[in-house]
Amino acid sequence: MNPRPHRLALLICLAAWLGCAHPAPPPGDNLLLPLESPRGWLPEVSDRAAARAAVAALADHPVVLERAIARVRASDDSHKGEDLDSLLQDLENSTLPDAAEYRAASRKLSRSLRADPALEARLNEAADNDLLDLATQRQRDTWEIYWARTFNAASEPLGQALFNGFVFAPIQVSNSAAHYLASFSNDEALPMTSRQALVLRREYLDRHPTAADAEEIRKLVEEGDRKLARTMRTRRLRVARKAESMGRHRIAQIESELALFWGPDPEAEAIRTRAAEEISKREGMRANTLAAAPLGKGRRYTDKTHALVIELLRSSSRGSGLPEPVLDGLRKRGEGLDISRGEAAFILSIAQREAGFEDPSWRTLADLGSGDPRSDSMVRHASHLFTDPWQHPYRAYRTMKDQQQDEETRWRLLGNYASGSRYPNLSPAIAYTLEAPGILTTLIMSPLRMIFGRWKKERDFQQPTAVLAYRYLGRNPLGVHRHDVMQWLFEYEQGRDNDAAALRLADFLPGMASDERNKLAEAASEQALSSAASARRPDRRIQMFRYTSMEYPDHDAGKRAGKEVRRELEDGSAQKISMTRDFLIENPHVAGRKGLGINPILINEVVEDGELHSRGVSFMGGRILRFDLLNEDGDEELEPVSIRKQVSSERLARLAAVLDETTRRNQLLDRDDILEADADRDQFLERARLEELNRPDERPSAQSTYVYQSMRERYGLVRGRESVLPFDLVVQGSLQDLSLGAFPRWRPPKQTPDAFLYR
Amino acid sequence: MKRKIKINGLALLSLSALSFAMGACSNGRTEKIEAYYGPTESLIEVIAVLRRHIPDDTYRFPPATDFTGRNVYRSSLLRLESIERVQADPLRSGYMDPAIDFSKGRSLERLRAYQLAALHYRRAAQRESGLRDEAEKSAIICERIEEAVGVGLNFTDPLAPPSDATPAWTLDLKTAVSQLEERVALLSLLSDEVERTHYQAIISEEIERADEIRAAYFVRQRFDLPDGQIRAIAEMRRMNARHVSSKKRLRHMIDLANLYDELAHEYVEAVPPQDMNFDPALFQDLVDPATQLYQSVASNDGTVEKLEAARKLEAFLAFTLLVDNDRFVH
Repeated sequence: MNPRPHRLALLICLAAWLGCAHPAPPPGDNLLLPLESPRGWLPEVSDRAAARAAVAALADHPVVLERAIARVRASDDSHKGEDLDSLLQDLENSTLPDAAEYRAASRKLSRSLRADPALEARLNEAADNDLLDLATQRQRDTWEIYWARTFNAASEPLGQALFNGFVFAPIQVSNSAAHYLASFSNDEALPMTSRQALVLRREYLDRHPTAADAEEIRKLVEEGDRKLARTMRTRRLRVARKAESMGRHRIAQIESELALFWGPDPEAEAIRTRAAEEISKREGMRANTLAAAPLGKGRRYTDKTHALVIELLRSSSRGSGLPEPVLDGLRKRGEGLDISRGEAAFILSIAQREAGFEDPSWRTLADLGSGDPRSDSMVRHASHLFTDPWQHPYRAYRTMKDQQQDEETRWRLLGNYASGSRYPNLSPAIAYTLEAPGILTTLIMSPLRMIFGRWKKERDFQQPTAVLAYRYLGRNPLGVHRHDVMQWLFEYEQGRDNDAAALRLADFLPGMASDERNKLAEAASEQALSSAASARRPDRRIQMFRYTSMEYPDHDAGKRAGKEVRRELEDGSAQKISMTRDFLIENPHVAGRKGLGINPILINEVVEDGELHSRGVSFMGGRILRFDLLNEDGDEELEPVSIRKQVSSERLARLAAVLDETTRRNQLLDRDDILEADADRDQFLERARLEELNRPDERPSAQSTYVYQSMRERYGLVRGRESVLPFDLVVQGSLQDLSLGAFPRWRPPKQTPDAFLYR
Repeated sequence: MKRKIKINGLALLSLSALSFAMGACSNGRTEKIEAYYGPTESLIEVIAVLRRHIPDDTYRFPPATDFTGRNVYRSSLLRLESIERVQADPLRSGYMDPAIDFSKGRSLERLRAYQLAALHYRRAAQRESGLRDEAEKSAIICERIEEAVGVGLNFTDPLAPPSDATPAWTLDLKTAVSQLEERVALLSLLSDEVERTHYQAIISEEIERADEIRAAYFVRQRFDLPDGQIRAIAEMRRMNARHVSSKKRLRHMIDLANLYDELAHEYVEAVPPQDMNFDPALFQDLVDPATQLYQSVASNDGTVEKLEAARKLEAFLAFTLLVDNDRFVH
């Protein structure tokens, strides 16, 4: 075996390694190329004629406009761009007085275009902006929603039957049909999409009251208005009915009045009348409670009573408690004090409470409150104190805890059915008959749900209980149940990962081990640190970091927070608008000499001659740009080498202008290339364009952290496109009957961005 | 328990295409088809968009927006400035200056910068005979509007540092009202002269603004003027009545409702429900119109005011529920 070839290969590899693995040179000073110098451009015939056309369009001179356009069409000089004729045609169209004519002309022009997709997109957008067309589209959406529901109601059971045989098909089909029919009970007279159509038609009438089709549209609007009134009345009535059934008459009255705002309705009238009667009855009862009732037969107040009252009033501010003989009389149900048994019990409860006997005091009041209010006037006072969550928060806390535990159990067993049927507008008998199979399945599958549900974020059932627990501690910091309540709260806060709150409670809990407390403090400091890091405003972020470092100086997170404060102060900048490397490569006009004028070797994807890091270039406020470059190893994962450079106002102004123009055009070319709204970014670029950035705007609220990204960075290598088919193919497995199914599901139309204004 | 996997209709096709694409694309990054318009084409595009919206009635309807959702007049102005910057070299010859100046004038007058608009019109008139008449006429109208809006009170920036000038809002009633009436008279006169032009909408907006200032004056002075509260409400109602066809109609209604709302709160602060002097009937006189106005605005689908009014109505009703516990029957 000849070893030579191996040696040769080794030598070649070594040479190749030495050639390729030398580190990238440090970035040189030529980050930017000099600005492009003027080239002595002079307008030609087409430019001058187009300028005349612009002037004529602005000054409303149609003859001059027509002549100028003809001149441009006839010319064939070197400046005449491919789209100039089309643009001038659009200019001429823009002088048309009627919006419909303009739309038609734009559509025609768009069809005849061959060159610029951006112009085509803009013209199409203008042509599509027809109020009546849009209204028809929204109305069509309504019908498509109904169609999707019908289609899906048929396709799902049939798809399942195809896979599982047709034995259960009749049951599945009839079940699906029943739910389909029941779903109409939830529909409103005028669905959201039809409301959108109504508004668009109304606007059409406002804008074109004398149009030829105005009368026809007016009829549609009137019909829509009637349905809208019915929809809104029904909504309000539903709330009014519920409020009435719960005995909340004030809300019932308000809601019935709001229902009547949408037109007369006998039921709303009736609820309003009944609510008014109930309120008036309640007011009458309240007035009665304030009236001074005469003393019962044979009863009279004596000097002893007088002395007791004086003692009560005196001791109320002293907190010294009642004298023993008085207490003795109270214990004997008022014997020897000339007061009623109820009055004695009430005063005794006060004395017990002030002496620190919290539970006996509430027991006394509970005993008194459970009596007949007609037998003793103090019964209602005792009952009120006992049941008022502000007066007796401990009872309210216990009651709420039990209630919420019950609710949680219900929810774990019944899932979404715990809050009732999906068809509240049907009679309960029909609704629950329809839902019965679903409820049964949910009940059977509840153990599985409990297992898998552990990893999902769940509803916080005990939040109202925690409010009452904190209330108890606030009102009774030395209350006899404080330790129980604190222990419960401690566990509750830990359960929802609120370590900071748990730590506060831990300091009051007896027997808390120092190790456990330390762990808790570490977790709380991490929580504070992560919350600080997520603050958007830099001033607020620094404040929160500083608080974390001061509050937890002995913990790791506290130390890191201190370092973050220093980092923020050292590296902070007024602005942080970035253009990534990929964005610059994707948009050469921005990177080029008409814009940033970056040295092309920095974005040529060759590390050896110096290369931008993927973070790219950032505006740091004022005229400062930061260039993030790959480090010597050319490793994208490592921190970049940052170089700050002050550029001329002229360069910054050009860059801002090109950036704005390019991103606008990109939006027209590609619907996904959206420039998200950012007022601070726009303001900064506007000032840059006007060369007014000599002094950075240091206000934290003026900072933008917008990042201009390439499409690949935003959407990945292959962008998800919406299917051209109107339905999705759904594969469905059911653990309930171990069945499989595959069926097409019709996609309902997407909501328009302004849908939230129609709810 | 059902687990569902959604597969797009073209998913299978996409999957096979993906593997091909992955192999074919060594680098998914592509250069955008960037703006290649020359200076003339760029400007013609902006002017065409602007020209389309010059006759718009911005008093009755909100100003149009461009495809990015920005106010079309502001957006056109910004684009003209951008193009001037990007195409600085070709535009140096000045062949497009009159059109640029005139367009800027048309944009600026819709942004209430009348003086600047007049300046641009004057420049356009000097440079281009075809525009001279129209530009001079526009410059004069803008100057007259600027002159008119300078008469009487004006809204001031509450966050601006205080200036040495006398605080205008402390003017006496007679002067304040007569000055604003003079402003409206000047604007009305001008409105008659510019009939059937887009300036009518601009002037109507200014008259509306004068009425808003007048109403705001009465609201701010309501504690110092005799019958101040009633006059403030009357002025707000006057503004509502005078501008029923304005795009700001719903805003005016909310402003009036806010005044009733504020009065109700102030009344409860001054005379708490537990106070012996609390008058439920008087309180109801404030609650009813506020509720009705908020409800009216909240019933207008498709408007931002709908959301504001609906939330304010809820907040206001919650406030009355609080008062109700003591002394108020709705």
